[in-house]
Amino acid sequence: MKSKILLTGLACFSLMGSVKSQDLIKLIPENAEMIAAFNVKEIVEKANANKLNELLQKAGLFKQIEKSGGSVGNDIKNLGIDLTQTSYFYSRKTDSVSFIEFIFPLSNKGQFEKLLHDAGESKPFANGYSSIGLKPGSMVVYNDRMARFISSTMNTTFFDNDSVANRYGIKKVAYMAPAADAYSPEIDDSVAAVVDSTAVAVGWEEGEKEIQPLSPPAIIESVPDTLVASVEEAVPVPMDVAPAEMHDPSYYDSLYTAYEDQNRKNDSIRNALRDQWLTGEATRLLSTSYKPLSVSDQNKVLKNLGLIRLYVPHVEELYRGLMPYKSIPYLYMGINMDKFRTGYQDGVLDLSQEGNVLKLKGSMGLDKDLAEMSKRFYARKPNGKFSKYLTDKTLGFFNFNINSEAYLRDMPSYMAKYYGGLLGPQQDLVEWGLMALEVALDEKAIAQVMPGDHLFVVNGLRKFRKEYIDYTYDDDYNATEVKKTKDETLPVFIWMFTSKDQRLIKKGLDLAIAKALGKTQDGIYAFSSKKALDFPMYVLLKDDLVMVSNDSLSLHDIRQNKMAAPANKDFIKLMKQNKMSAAFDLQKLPAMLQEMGVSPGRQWDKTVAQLNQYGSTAITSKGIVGNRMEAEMSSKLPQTKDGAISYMIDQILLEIDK
Amino acid sequence: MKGVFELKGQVNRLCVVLCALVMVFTLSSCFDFVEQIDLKPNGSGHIAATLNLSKSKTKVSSLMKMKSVKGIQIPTQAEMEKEIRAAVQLLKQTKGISNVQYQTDFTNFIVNISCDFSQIESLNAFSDILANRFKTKISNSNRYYYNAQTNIFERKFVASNTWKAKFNQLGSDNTAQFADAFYTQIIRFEKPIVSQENNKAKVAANKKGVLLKLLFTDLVYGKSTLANKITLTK
Repeated sequence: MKSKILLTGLACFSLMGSVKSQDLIKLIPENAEMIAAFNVKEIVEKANANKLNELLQKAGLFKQIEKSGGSVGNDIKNLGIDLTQTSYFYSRKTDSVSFIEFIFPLSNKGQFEKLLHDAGESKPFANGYSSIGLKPGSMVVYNDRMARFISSTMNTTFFDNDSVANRYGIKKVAYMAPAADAYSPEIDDSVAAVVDSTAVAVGWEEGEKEIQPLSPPAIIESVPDTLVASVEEAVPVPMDVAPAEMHDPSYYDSLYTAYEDQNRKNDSIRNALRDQWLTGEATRLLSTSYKPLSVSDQNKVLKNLGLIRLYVPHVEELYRGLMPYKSIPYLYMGINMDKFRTGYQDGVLDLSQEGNVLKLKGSMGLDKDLAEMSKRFYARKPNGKFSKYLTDKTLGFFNFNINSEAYLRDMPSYMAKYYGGLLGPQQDLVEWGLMALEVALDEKAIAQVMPGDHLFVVNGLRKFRKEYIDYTYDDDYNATEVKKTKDETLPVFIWMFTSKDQRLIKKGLDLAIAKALGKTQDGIYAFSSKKALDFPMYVLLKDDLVMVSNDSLSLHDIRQNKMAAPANKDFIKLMKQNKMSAAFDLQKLPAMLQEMGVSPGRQWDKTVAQLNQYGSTAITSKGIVGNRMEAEMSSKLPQTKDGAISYMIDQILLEIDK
Repeated sequence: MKGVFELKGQVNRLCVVLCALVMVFTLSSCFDFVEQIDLKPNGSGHIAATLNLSKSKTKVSSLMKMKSVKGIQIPTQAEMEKEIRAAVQLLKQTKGISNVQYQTDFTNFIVNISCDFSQIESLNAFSDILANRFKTKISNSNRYYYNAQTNIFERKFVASNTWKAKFNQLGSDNTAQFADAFYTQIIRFEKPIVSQENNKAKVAANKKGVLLKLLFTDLVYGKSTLANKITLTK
């Protein structure tokens, strides 16, 4: 816990290093799965160093440091960490073990050493570095210029393979194995072997166990029966031990004890291996045995770095690594993970601040085919008439534009190419079905009915009349149920989409009316609600737009061109400039909740009231730019002198003070 | 061990339902709870308890479409029905209680549970079982007494501090928010009423019934009470 607090604090300040950030990034191996860069200088500047000090002081970091023997005088500058540079975090995985490392520059080695005084004694390590062991499976190594926190975690499935488990002396145990296992001479030998093999296992180098990353594991070849057979291995009960009564509690106790004992031994072996491999990894890292991150990847991490950047060089590999394709269900289902593709290349996620606006921007590289296909999918602009319905009354909206024709035409081949591997034995059948669908569908005709641009708008509040059940009492207080009505203030929704050929939609609506499922009122189709929440639905066909709403009055106004509210220029700009956009005006939320009679609760009263000072929160995507899919989320926080991050720290400090 | 897990599972489910009920009460804010007791001279009778959330059915329906709110898991309709059936089963097994009936209406969100009781103690058991089952005890003490010799019916009631604390956690203006939430108690007798001691209660025209309709917030904050002492003719 102590080391966690320390390291968290160090993470906050590690951006101010005396070592140049470009030097540190070269220490990251080229096969890092995920890399994060922290622009500490920017963070501290934008967050305000004094506020950061106050935050860490209230979070207890400085107190913890004092307890462990250090003294920093409640100032992050005295941590010995260089707060003017960039620090890095990355993860790396092999078949057997996963590593994470955090690299940050130092300004004062002596001061930094004092922080870790409580964690243990510093020992010389390698290549001029000293090391301090932290909790099992992690260590910190440092020299005059930098510190590196390295942690290792065993991959849980590595020892599922029997040959691997046997190699390290790990014995699989089942809770209901015969009690005689504990007395079998063969087991006694293996127990001794396990104890001895701990020492032997220490000799195994992690690298030697490294199976080709991403290649199918041997287990795929094995027949499920073989797996079962290899587990049971019935050990004969020695003749001189009377078989225990199945209902005897002591029988189960002895099973449980044997089970736990073996598990402890297995854990000891795994922990020893983990620590061994951690030391090996640290040695290799410090002697720069690994090839560093490529120059182009380094540029992608550092170029135009905002506050924090997360970079994944190979998203598809990361995705495949996360899927448990070694597990039996996948084997039984015949899923061929080699054929599973996403088409994703690298991924970037950026956190930045522009004044009082916080932005989270992401982009993903796509392979050539996917990029071309995606460009065709999103080749559609919003209907120009949508702008009329984004007014100053609009609380929020969601707009997306896809090209239906391209989508219907290309989706079958897209599914077959990228997801074919997941279909297992059904792959050919499904691909045939998709091809048949492609032939049967008239994409152009369907695209005329719904070309693919949609707008969903929440346009203010309205009173709706709702029925409810109440009771009346006669003179003798006998109760009778009666239906009454009341007004409820609810948001008005309108969903609209372009439709150039409305014959199908109109015919469907007329058919519903003919079947008495609804009625028409002044050219508006009305369908009453059945259950409590299912609002009445109204449909209007106007020009080349189909509009669906829960409010007939709004549609009446639209039909008669009585939408007089001023346009919401910010929302219109967002919609026009993006393939997908969603925005909500937080300023309007407090009044809206009050009018609706929704109370957020006493603990949220103040927060909701403060929303008056916020601007809009928006999520937008420009679709495909070059060969990258881009999206962004931004939030306009209340205007303060120092900006968005400083404001957030103020809020955190207020919460801590509560 | 299995029993512990089963019990734990039941407790978890119960917590789900009770948390949801608390959530529904507090977020829906408009509801009626109606309690009707028909008491015979020998101390037996019939009780029907109705929770009517139809005034807030839009909000309740919205809540039930969510998986969770403020970290509290919202039970599904099936889960709620299961819990109600379990409560009914408990009542059926309670000594002195018979003819247990229940109705649920998830369109208007109305639940009604009724039963016959053979003696006044069974009536107390009915209240306790429902309150404990759904953890909706709004009182520290809620007891019915009836003396067939003196023909006096009494209800003792002391509001619970737990509910007061829960209400205090809500928005700053509870009065307006719960302006439409009522607790109604109707007690009918076969003998005429001589007197009753709750100044907010009304006596029926035929002198054989008492109606007490109180604002839920007044009840929670102790501004009014369900306690009453009703004397019948001999």
